[in-house]
Amino acid sequence: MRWPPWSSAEEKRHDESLLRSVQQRFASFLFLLDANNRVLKLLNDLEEKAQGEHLYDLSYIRSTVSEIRVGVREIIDVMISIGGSDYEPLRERFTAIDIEVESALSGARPIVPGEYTIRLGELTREEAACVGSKNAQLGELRSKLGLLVPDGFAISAWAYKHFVGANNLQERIDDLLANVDIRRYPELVRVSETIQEMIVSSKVPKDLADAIRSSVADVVTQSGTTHFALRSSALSEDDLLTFAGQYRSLLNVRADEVVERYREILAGKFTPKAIFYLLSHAFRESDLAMCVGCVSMVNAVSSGVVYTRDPVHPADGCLVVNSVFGLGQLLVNGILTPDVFRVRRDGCQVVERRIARKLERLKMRPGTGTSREPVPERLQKQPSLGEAHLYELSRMALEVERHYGAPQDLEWALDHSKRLFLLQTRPLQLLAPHENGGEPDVSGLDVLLSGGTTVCPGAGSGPVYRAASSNDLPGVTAQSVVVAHHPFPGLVSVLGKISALITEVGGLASHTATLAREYRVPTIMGLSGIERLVPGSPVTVDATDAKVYAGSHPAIVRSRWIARVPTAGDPLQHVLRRSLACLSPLNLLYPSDPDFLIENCQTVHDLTRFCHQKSMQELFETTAGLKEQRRVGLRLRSEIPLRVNIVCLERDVVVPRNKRWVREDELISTPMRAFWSGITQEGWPAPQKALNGFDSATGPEARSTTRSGFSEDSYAVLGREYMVVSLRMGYHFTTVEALSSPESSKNFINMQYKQGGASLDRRKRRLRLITRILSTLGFRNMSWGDSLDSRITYLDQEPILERLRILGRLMIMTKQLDMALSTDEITEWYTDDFMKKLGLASSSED
Amino acid sequence: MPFKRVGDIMIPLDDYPHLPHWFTLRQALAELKGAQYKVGSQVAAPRSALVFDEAYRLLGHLRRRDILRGMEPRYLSSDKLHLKFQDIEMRPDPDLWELSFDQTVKALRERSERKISEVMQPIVTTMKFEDSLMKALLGFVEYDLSLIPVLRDGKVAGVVNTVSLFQELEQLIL
Repeated sequence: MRWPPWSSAEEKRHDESLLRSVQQRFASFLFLLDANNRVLKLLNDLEEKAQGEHLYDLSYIRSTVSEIRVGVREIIDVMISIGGSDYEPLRERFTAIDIEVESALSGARPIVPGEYTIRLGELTREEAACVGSKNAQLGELRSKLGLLVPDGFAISAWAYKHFVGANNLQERIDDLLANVDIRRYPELVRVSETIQEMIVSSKVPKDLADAIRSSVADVVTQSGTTHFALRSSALSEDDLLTFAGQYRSLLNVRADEVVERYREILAGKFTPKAIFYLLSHAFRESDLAMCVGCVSMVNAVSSGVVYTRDPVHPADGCLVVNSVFGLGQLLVNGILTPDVFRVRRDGCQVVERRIARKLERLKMRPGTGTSREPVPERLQKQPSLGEAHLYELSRMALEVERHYGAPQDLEWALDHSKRLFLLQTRPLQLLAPHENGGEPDVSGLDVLLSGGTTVCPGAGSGPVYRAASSNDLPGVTAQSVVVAHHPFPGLVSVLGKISALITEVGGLASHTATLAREYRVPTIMGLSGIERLVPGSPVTVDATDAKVYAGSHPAIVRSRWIARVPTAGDPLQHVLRRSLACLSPLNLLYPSDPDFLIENCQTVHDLTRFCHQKSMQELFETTAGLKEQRRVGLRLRSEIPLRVNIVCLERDVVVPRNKRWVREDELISTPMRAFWSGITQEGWPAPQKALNGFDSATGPEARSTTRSGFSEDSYAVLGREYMVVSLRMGYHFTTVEALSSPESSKNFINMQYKQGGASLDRRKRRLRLITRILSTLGFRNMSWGDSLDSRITYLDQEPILERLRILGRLMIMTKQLDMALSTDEITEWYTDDFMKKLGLASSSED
Repeated sequence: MPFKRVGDIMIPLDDYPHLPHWFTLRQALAELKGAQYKVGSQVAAPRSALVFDEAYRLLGHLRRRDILRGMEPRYLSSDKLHLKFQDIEMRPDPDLWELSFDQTVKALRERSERKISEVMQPIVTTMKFEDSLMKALLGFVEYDLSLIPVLRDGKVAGVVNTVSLFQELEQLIL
């Protein structure tokens, strides 16, 4: 009986249809390879950035991750189209991994049930996920370093969740934020007011209110304080981005007011500028639970900010102390220009002091709240911090930096008892000019203004736009140079689009200055004469050199390009590394491993590796069903009697329509040429007929169908620098995939070697032989049963090609070698013999 | 003693040396060096190996003396050196090799790279698994053999040789 049992015409139709299906699969496979290479390149870029030698920002990370997502979805789609519905679970796996990636990007962790309030003394930085970074770091300073911080407690993220849940706020907030257009300021204000009103009119649940009152009472009893400062400490704040000044702080709050005013801090999460900041960085609102720090009010004589390195000139060996009289809020809001002291990091000697004329100070009002009052005439030009305290403060700041292993931005206050308190610490973001920038030629240019403080270096040009308050901001257009009297907080909503910022007052230490550096907006503060800048006229702000030129000068802008300096404690680097942990590690190394399964894909790289491998397998398994005379691409013309069908990856290679063969010397693929040269070097054994016509008996493992040359069709998908070859040689089949490019980081060889004609123990001996030889060449190997997976990466082009030549030779040398490997001893002999032949061991004849 | 068949005394193929035809004499030497098989309780050294093609078809067999023949130096085997002078046959002296030991070893090494298919012997007869021992005995005598492949269902299942047959005869007769 014929098998298969269809007629010749049906057989032909079936074969035609199979051929079309195979051709379609090859086309899909090429698409998958393309997407795979794209994703791997993006992963590689991210990894390079994470090494700390390259510069990047959050939008780079986000946009790269978005591109990776698109690529992985394409890969999975193609995998399913090639392999069928068995691969559908890939989608679910990807979704699960992507949730982890998103969580790593936003820094959000699930809010776990816990205490509503926790004393600062019980906190360390590990609790940042429960109480927000600001509270946790304050706890760390107190509990780990024993530094003086005000007594107090944190109101946790769990408390926030309870408040939102008890008042059914989340859904309403989500609805309002889903529809807001953050580029339309009036709309932002309307949504902000609606949400804030919802929050302040909600009730603090009784159990939460009781917990807060109890903690307040404890602090009052133990430290004798009667007034508190309530400070926001949102989850992820200071962690990924500074969120500097985006939220609300309430000073000098009476002990009995704390519960009521707690709601105002929560509502501060939804100021227009905070909503803008949140949404413009693609954070999910629900990830940023608002925790609150409730600390004893420090009645400050003077206060300010310390940077343990100059953020603009990080290499100059100084720390920078900013100081004003009274409470520090006017300083961080950019309303006051502070005294600035530059202190040497080694020895803490003051090397420069710029004493500002301090007309105002912020004081605690009797009863509650704060008030601005004039500084007495005799004090206005006096330093707001003495030598001894400068020394003490510098020592404390450097100790904190040492503890965290990265430059810090600290807020401090000196009370009437001359005690120095630390109020906050967070990582300091540094900036540096691009190394290829060079000095611009500014000769002959019209300098409109010069002076002031470089808050963020760089240069930008555009038309002047004057903004007196947030109400003027809707008119700001892209590339404007915004000029303001002082750095008012609403400016954050335009920092993403303007080309430069100039203010008449303010300095390095305001929140807006921190944000300007975060957005890398060239900024000069404390620049006199801004009235000379005519609205609408084009100017170029060279913030690096603190000058404003008339007209637009792109050469200056190009030469002043600046970037963030990654540091060990850089939160952005933490985010990148956290994200990479979900993206990049490769856990599925060996396809023969029984655990090479969809459910074991833990990272995006695992998914791409899995799809790449399985698509290859599916592709080559289908092609095995084609009749021998069918060709998928061109066939290789060679003395070696392997029928190799070649599919070309390069789109610019035009194949003449009637061309059916390709000669060895026409192969464009460098790795394939190397691999094939190894095969031809060893040569294929000439066929041998049985003597005396004896031709019937076969060995026990013989196949039922044999053909001339005894090779089924083999397939090669080739690019100039890439090859994947599936060789069927007698009883074993091998897949070799390789990339040999000028970039060693991209290069690799993957090989899979399977089956054989002899008994299992002999096949295993052959695998041991191959494994030993490949190990000598630096391959990592794993064998399962009679399958071997070998892999080598990160090699220069020539060593890759050399290994491919050896692999080609090894293919021929080990062809049906298993037949001869009857014992371990003979296997050892062959191993040593092959090593000598391949030049991997010295010969006894040498 | 039960009546035995060829299959009962056969040495399974897996226990007997066998090689692909493109292997060299050198590889065959290595294969036979130290190779052993069991006949009853005795251990014996195989004196030959079966030769297969890449489709596992049996092509021939290779005896130790075939390997020796294949390694024979040219100066001993070349007809040009076999001279006849006044009916006296003159052959090269095998001890000539002592004159140039290094050259001879080099020549041997070169010869050892010859393919075994060049010197292997044809398969002149086979036995079936269920054939009687007497048929095997006749086969050895008729074809002057010391080894006969055994087929089962048309495939080579092993070999029967004079050693295994002798052991049976010893048990029957002694």
